[in-house]
Formats: sequence, C-alpha cells, structure tokens
Amino acid sequence: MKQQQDVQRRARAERVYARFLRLYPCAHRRAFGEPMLQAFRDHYGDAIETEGEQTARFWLRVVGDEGKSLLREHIAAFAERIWFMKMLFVTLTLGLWQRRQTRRLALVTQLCLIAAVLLVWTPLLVGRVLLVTSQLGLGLVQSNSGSVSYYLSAEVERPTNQFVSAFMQATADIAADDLHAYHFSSSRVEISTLALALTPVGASAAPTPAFLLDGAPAARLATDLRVVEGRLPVPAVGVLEVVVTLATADQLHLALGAALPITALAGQQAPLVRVVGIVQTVGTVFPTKRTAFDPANQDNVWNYAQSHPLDYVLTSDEAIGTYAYDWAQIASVQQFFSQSSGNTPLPPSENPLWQAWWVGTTEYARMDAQDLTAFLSHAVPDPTMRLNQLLGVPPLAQQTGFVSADTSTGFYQGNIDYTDQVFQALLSVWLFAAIVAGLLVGVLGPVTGRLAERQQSLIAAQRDRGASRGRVVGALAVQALTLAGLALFAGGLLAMLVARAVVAALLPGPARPVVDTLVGGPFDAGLGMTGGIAAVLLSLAAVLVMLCAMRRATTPEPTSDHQSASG
Amino acid sequence: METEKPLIPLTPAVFYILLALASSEKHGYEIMKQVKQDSQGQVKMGTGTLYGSLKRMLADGLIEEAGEKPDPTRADERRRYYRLTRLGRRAFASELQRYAQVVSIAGQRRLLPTFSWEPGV
Repeated sequence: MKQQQDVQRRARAERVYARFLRLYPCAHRRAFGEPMLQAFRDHYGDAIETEGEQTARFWLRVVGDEGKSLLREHIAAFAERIWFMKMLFVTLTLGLWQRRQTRRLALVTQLCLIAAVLLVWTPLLVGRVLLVTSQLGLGLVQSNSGSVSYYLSAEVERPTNQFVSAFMQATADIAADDLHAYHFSSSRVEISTLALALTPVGASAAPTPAFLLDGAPAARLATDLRVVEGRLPVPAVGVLEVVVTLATADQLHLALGAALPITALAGQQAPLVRVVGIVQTVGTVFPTKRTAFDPANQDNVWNYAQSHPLDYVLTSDEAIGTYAYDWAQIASVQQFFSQSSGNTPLPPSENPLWQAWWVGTTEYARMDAQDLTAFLSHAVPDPTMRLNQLLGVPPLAQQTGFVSADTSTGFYQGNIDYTDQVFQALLSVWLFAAIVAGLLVGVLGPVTGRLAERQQSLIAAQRDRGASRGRVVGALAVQALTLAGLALFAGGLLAMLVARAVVAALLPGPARPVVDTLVGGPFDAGLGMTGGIAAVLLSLAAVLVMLCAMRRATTPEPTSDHQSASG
Repeated sequence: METEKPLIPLTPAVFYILLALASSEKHGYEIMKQVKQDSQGQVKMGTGTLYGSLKRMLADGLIEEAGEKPDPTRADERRRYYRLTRLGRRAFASELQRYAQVVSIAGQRRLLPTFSWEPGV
C-alpha cells in the first residue's frame, strides 16, 4: 500500500517538474529536458524515499534552483538571439556592399526602389501645388510668401458674443497678413447681410434708394403683398420703419407701432425700429420655401432655406454703414431674444425674432482674405448668392456697381471644380502608383532572387554556424527593409527637390511663393502625405517581393538531395 | 589552437563538475552526487544549475558527451554520460595549479590556519 502511494507521489512530482521544464527556452528544453527529468527522478528518489528528506524542504530547494536557472537561461537565450541577429545583419546586409558579387545587384535594387518612390511621390507633390495655384485665378486661394491659402469659414446661424469676438480677431489677423486656416462654427450665429436703413440720429438725411422689399422692386409689391394694416415703410432719419409678416407679428406679439429695442452703439444713440405695417405675402417674391431663388445654384443657403421656411421683416434696404455690420448690434439681437422669451431661450430654429432679422445668410467660408476684409470694411458688397440675388435687381445693382458675373456662382462653381480636380488627380496618381508598383515588382523579383543566390555562400556559412532557416530569412527581411527604408528616405527627399524645380518652372512668378509652403517637405502637404502613403505601400510591396525571391533562393531543392542520395 | 586561459579562473560549479568528471565519465545525477560529496555538502547543485553549467561547458569545449549508455540500475532507461575533453583537463589542471600557488603563497605568508589532526575524529 505504501509502495503504491510512493509511486503515485513520485509520478505527481515528476509531472510538476515537467511543468517547470516547459518554462525553459525551447532550445534548452530540447537539448536537456529529458536528462533533467531523469536527474530529477533520481534526486527525488534519493532525497525523499531513501534519505527521508522533508518534501517541503526538497521542493523549496528545487524551486529556488530552478528559478535562478530559468532566469539565467532566458537571459542567455535572449542575448544569443540579439547577437545572432546582429551578426546576421552585419554579415548579410552590410556585406551586400562589401562583396563584389553582390555590390552591383544591391545598387540596382536600391536604385529601382528609389526611382519607384520618386515616381510615385513627385507627381502628387507637383499636382498639389499646381492644383492649388490653379485656384488663384478663381480667387479661392490667397498666395503670400510663406503661406498659401485659407478659408475663413463661418457657419453661422445665431450670433454669440464669443463667436463675434473670435471672428473679428480672425479678420484682424487676416488684415495683418497672418494667414492661416480659420474655422468658426456656432449653431447660434447668423449674420444679417442685408443692411437696415438705419441712419444715426442727428446725421443728415442720406439719399435713399427706391424702396425695395427683400430685394424686390417696389413695383412688385402691389402684386405680391397685401397690406393687412398700416402702411409700407418709408426712409426716415433715425428711425427704421419696418413691416412684418402676419406670422411674425403673431409670434412676436407685435402690434402696429411697436418698437423693437436695439442696443445703442458705444457713443451713439440707439436706433429706433418701429413696426409701421403688417403684410401678407401672396406672390413669389417671398416664398415660404425659397426654391424660387436661383435653383441653378443649389448651395447651402438654398438648401438651408428649403428646410427652414422663414417669414420676413421687410425693411428698406439702404446700407447703413456702421450699424449694418456692427457686431455689437448683432449681439444685441440676442439680448432682445432673452427679453422676449424670458429666462428660457427659444430653440434656434424657432426663434421668432431671428426670423424677423433673417434677411439673408452670408457664407463666408468661400471668401478669400481680400474679399472678406473688403466686405467687412464695407468696401464691397457681400458676394454671396443671396445678396447677389438681391443685388442683381436694379436699381441697387447699378448703384453699387456690382457686377453680376463676379457673384458667388463663381465661388461655388470654383469649389466644385476644385473638388473634381482633386478627385481626378488622386485617382490618376493612385492608378499611376499601381502601374509603377507593377513594374517594380516585375524588376525586383528576378534581381533580388539573383542577389540572394549570390549570397548563398554567406547564408550557407551562417547555417553551418547554427543559424536556422527562419533566422536567415529574418536577416534577409532586415536586409530588404533596410533597402526599402533607404529608398523611402532618399526617394522622398528627391521627390521634394524635383517637385520644387518642376513647379518653379511651371508657375508664373507671382504664384511662386506657394511653392515654398506646399513643397516645404514631402511630409508636409496634404497630397504630399498621400504620396507618402503611396510610397510606403509601394516599399512594403517591394519588401514582400524581395522576401519571396530571397526565400525561394534560400530554399534547398529537394531534387538535388534526391539525386545525390541516389548517386 | 584552443586555449584554456580565458576560462580561468573557473566558477565553483564548473570547477566541481570538472573535479567530478576527472576520475571517470558520469551522467547528470552522478555528477550532482559527486559534487555534493566532493564539497562535503557545501555545494548542493540542483538539476537546473547542473544542466545550465553543463550546457555552457559543452559550448566551451570543456566536456563532451560520451554517448548514451543504459542505466545499470534500470534496464529500460538510457542515460547521457559526460567526460572531460583535453581542453577541459588542461583547464582543470591550470585551475588546480592556481589553487596550489595560492595555497603556497598563503603558506609562505603563514596565512594558513593550523589544523590539529586527531585520528579517529
């Protein structure tokens, strides 16, 4: 009975020790696993069964010894691996350039890779510069030395003080030639682009144009509007007379003669805005959905108007200088909202007062610095589609000298063209990259195969020193990666230089400053990055091809063994 | 030509293994027992330490495998035996010579402890 227990205990101990052995590095386990287990078996038998050593004490000694040995063997295995890879790398990769048999082929491989990277990367860099500079003519891009282009993007629906101050700061930056990408986004900002005919109190009565209703000539009012009560507004000094639609009057609880509180500008008296009439729209001048405005230009304004039917405050439409585009005044609209709706702000889309002020949306996103600065300083009219529509109607167009051809249509069309050009350019470049990759694969396969064949003696020497085939292939992979890495670096650098030279030759003088920014480096520009990605993918494909060729070349041929065996 | 010089001085584990194999070829557990006996129980070499040392000694050419032989105590088991190489013998002899020199110098300088020899004790 005791003997049986001893046998079971010994078997259990052997199983535990066998588990210990699994923790050793593979090579050590293969070489010494079996004799170690045997030695343990003997040791256990002598120590426990013959000498009667305590089991716990025995295991404590075993665990302590095995722990130290495990650590030592793993460190040794790691060091050996590192040493081996270093040795293989030095022998194989650096050896390429030292040995006459491989030097020329390595050079051919390297040059092929560099040429491929250059071919893929350069067109993208050149293409980007030319594409962007082609937009100069459309006024979409501002070119200055050291900087290229920007869009001052203001997505505005409702005004907020933060937005206004940020926007004003941006315009100041632009005016100071500090050009960079601007983007403002606020769901609560909208800018009125149609000037209100406010004349500061005390100012002399300015000549006012014929009355227009939201851009429509007065002559059409008779057919398109029905005055419910009151009268149509007339220009007046210090007072803005407005008529509102019936819906707006209901929403705002505006009665005839009601005044809209407008905050005074610093140092000036507050303008008085008074409701002098309430009207109903019956014609197409004021469609509740603005599909009637230029359907050919289905831009954001048009889309927005489609989904946001609006009522209007009808004003005379004389530009009013500082009042019209004064941001403090716009901000004051918000205050008015707060007053009318108590402490609970109305949702933006249902804000009735804003509807009252909504007479147009300005899309600043597509304006360049010059136009935007000019617009903000009231030197030129708003070039957006909505205002163009208004300005296209005489006599205001004539008065402002606005040329219809320079309308937002050009801007929008320019953007569409730009997007199309970018897409086509990218498509062409990727197709071109694919062709280059195909050619590269075709050339590299045989060349690197021969390269590996010429390293046969070196590889055989390494195998004799105990390098496994996997390690040799690993070292060859490092070799291929080194060649590809060098090609990426050199090819990218060359691409930048070539692109700079080509673009400088193609571009007219004034546009050349663009080159400095766009070709600052192959990793800088947007399309340059695309080129970089294409080049990296190409290099990886080349590494794979090289590896396959090298693997084939290092695979022992079974037929030769067979022949030698039979011989 | 192989030289034992870089291997000297030997680590205690290597020295005792060489000492154990100096008289005859042995398998792993015999070496462990011999080391324990030679060091009068002061060096207790575990299996892990033993085979780690054997691996390095094989790589250094101090020992070699003498082939597998059946275990006389167990008919169904074969054991791997190890023996000293010529380099191993030279290295061991050099190490012994070094010890002898050290003992001689220590003797000349009267640094050796005096031993009292009492038969039967």
